[in-house]
Amino acid sequence: MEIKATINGDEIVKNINPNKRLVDFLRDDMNLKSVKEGCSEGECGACTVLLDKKAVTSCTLFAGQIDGCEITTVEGLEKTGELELIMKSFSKNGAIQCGFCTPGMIMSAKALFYKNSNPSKDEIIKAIEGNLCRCTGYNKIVKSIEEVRDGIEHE
Amino acid sequence: MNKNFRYIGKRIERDDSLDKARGKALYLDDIEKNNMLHGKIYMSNKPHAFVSINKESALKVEGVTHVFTYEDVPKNLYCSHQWFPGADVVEDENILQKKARFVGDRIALILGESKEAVNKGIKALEVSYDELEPVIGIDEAKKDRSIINGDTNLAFSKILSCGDADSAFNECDYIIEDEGSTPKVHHSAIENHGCLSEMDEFNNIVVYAPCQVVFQVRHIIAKALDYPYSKIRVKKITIGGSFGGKGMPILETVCAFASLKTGRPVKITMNRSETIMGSRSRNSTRIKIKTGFNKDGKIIARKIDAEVDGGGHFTNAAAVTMAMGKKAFRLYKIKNQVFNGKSYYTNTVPGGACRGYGSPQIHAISEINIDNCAKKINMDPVKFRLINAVDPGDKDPIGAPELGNARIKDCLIQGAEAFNWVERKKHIKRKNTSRYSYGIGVAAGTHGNGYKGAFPDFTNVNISILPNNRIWIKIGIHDLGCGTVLTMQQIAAEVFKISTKNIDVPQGDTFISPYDSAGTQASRVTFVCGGAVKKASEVIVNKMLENYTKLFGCSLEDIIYEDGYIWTKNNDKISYGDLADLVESKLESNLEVSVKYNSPGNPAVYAASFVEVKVDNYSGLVEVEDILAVHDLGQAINKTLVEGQIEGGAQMSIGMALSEEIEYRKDGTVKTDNFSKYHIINSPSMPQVKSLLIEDGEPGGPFGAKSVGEITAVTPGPAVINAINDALSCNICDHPATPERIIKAVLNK
Amino acid sequence: MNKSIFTAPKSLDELKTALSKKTHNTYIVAGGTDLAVGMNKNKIYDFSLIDITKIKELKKIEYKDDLIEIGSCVRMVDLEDNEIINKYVPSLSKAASCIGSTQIRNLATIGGNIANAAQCADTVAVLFAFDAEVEIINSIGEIRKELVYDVIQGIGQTTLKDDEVIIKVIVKGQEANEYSSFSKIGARKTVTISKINACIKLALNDNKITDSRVYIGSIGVKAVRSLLIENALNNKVFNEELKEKILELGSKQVLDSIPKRKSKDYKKIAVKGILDDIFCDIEKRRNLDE
Repeated sequence: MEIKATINGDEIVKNINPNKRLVDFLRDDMNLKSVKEGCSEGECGACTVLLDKKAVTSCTLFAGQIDGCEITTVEGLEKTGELELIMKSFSKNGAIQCGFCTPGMIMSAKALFYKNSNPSKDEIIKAIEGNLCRCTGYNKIVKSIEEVRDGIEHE
Repeated sequence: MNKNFRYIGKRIERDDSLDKARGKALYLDDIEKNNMLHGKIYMSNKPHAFVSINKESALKVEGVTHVFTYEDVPKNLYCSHQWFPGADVVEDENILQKKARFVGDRIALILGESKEAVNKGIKALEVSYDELEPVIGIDEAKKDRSIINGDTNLAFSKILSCGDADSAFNECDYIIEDEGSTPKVHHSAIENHGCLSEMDEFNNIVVYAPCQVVFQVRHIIAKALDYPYSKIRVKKITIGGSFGGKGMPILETVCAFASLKTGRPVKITMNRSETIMGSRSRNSTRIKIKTGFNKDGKIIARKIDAEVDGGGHFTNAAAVTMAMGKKAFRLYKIKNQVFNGKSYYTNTVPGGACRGYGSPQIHAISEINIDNCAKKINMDPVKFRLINAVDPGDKDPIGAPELGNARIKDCLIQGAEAFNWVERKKHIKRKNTSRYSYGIGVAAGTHGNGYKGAFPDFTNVNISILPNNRIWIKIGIHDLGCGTVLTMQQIAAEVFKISTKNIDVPQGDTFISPYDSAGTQASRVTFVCGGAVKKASEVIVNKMLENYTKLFGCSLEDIIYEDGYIWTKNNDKISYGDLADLVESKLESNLEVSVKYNSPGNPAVYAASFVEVKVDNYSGLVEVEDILAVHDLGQAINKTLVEGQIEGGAQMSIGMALSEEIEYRKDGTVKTDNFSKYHIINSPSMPQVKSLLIEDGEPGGPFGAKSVGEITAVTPGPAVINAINDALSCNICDHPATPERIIKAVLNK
Repeated sequence: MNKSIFTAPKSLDELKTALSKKTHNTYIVAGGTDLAVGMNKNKIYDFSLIDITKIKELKKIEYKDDLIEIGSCVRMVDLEDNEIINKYVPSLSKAASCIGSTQIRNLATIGGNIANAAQCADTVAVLFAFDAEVEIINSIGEIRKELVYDVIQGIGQTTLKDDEVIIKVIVKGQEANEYSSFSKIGARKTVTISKINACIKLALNDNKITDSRVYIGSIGVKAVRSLLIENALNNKVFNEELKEKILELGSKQVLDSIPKRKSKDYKKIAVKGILDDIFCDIEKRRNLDE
């Protein structure tokens, strides 16, 4: 089927297999390797992307469903410069260890900021409740997001 | 000790984190090769059965190219746990099994041109099972009704002892006995298992593996395929977490076999359920502890009976049992102690390394028992521990290496003060409501620094100073996410007096890295590999200085070197790289050294955790309200990395205490086969971890450093359980303390 | 050979047409949170889909003639944030906010929650307590109404026929003197499947309960109405003493409903927790109103 969608700012018209999961479409057809697969059931959040600016797990959607929608991954945030502050905050604060959960974690944080530019610590914690991390214990991730909220810039 | 460090202890950022955030770091499943075949393991659906396979229907699926079974693979038995040929093990694994020993065992490999084709092939494959009675759990194994391997399910047993516990119990004022269990824990690295291999132009098998020990992977493949070591190139690639789970090769032998057989690149991946069922797990245990002590709180004798569920293959059945036993002798001074460890085959996922390697299990029960001893004589549990804790310089009572600068007492004293333990203990019950009960708990623990005393523990380092002013360090390390590369960079930077940004430390690659005896496991990397890097850096810096004297005709004392430059009063600054250039041009040499480094010892590391919990009397849900983790780690190489270990270790340990367990049904199938049922701690359930570091320097360690990564996962859990038992005045010893278990304990009070 | 067809109707009329072409191999997809996961897990690749999320009117929440109409493709996040739902069916907002993770709540729909008929479906206990109805359309465009309670027959079982789709949920909002709340308990604080959940709706006149509805989920194939608790609530003064009594009756209800299940030992205590939560929440809302 032919779909029309905006992926990371680019409008694409593409013939795709609509039955593929969105995660497979993004990784295999669009070569967006930031989208990671960790559990295939929407529980770990590694495959989180933005669907019309809302965080969704891309393993729980069919690719055909994004027709007419806007999809954003960290590759897209990098293009617009929106990744800069948050990625540096994560790096500086030691919020990235193995890094496998990181892109998904960043997308959840980004979705939160789209909805609420001044979230409380509890709101930050809730925004990443669906993003599992086994390395960091979340503390440094939460701190990184708080610093982005507070506009703290890192070299 | 001189603490005016330039790089050691500093919060330097790691090199790899920005690429990880940008999605540019390539993990296994992100790598594609031309002409690559996709592969999937067909895992047994039955726990204990001889399998027969009809390949035809799978081969008919469009895009499926090959189906391999036991009939097709070399029949060389191996043990995936064996990291060097001298490790004494039972070899009972095949590349693909004829007899499945657990649900998840590898029984066939399907290759195809696409993932979809392979999945369809898996679905189409006809497998019939000649079922044997499954052995699920230690109790079932002990009956020896159905035997998994050899003539008994008892895989290993060993007694460790000092003094004479049996007669010493007669002299004790009190004896306290406890019995408890610990669960099979899934490592839960967010990246699942995967492997990729190909044949290169020289007929070498090249294996891309997110692994912990490249030389182990090479050894096992060589053994399984009867292929020369020198023609197997194992490259450690970026890994999405391991925690021990990716230590033993699971897919590597299969993948290498497939490339050798087909001549094509082959990528095999597992999904979450397959990783939970078909990789490795923390061994579950049942532990009985009897402690005899006097009214003044001094422990006189202790007896520990530990039973370990080893799973379907031998793997680490001996190693983990020994590891548990040895730890029991290194935390408290107990003159008379006997540890009786037994591990059993069962038809469940095989045991493997898992952060802490036995320490989380043994301490889970022993630290509850210590609390119960203190309670018996109405003594504060911190005080009870202090009375019995080891001192710096103590010897190991069963002849293992000395404990080194053992600072457990500092952990307990400084931790209790920082936590305000005494005051909080007095007033905690005032917080109680009809709905919630509050309690506080403490636990102590110990772990090691490598293999010294048990297995060969040495490594080789090759360092060069390159003309572009870069330092190139070749050593067989594996960054599992902990920041191992940066740790090596900071150690070298301190010696070289050059920024970490100028130092390159590529990770394990059997064609590049000089031989390393034991890999990135056993808490050995900072202490042993870091020590090696420090030593080799010193050797090459001396070489650099000597060469400078030859070139510039000065004496060693005249030389100043700093920030990557070297000079004297009379000579202008030149970079280390310029010097390397001159050494080659003028002296026909280069700045390169190779150093073999043997571990100088195996000191212990120590930790204590202090915890406050809030227990919901109705739901049985526990919230960890506050946690302080104190670590005796000698010297932090990088404080941010250290805190990252402590916070992550706490997440794992609290998970083991409260919610994590791979549960088996009686028929051997796995109940908790994904994250919707296997609950790790998520952000709302994770407390803010406060950490306190005791940095008193370990003499044998690089700049006084010793390990921290594994010990972090030892004490938070038992402190949580002790806090729950304090809150509810009960004695929960079985892990995890699920809401159901907590409510049951309250009702049975 | 089955050909995979993907259809995304944009109107009810187009939906009707799509349904008329539906084969046994065609699945209705809304949020996808269960279907996409299930297809992948079961390695099914050849199937057809009707994506109903592009039908605008299924995404609306409207207050019409005293009734609230919730399109079947309204997502959990909408229920959580929507002012009408917050005001008139606050327990539904609460239930929606407790489902899954942020990512799942951004996809999962109320229609899907009903059609999947999971034993522990969180919005369902609330819809039962509110006597909510659904509107169902079929392939010839007929629309029928049925109580949510009647649509759900058992675990994964509904009265929905092969050519039928839920298009709307209709709820009568609570009056100014009515209160409702929802609570659940799972294996951890958040992102967890309910082990037990409940919804209570009360009418209060001068602090006296004049009417009540109580449904408890996960103690039967679908949420169970507790007449035991309702009878104890009706005509009583809403206070701490009553709460204590209700907690005890909660235990009794669990034992009555699942006398033989092993999980009763836990659920008989856990139910007190959710009833306590609900009482506290209603108390809080009442104080806010005063």
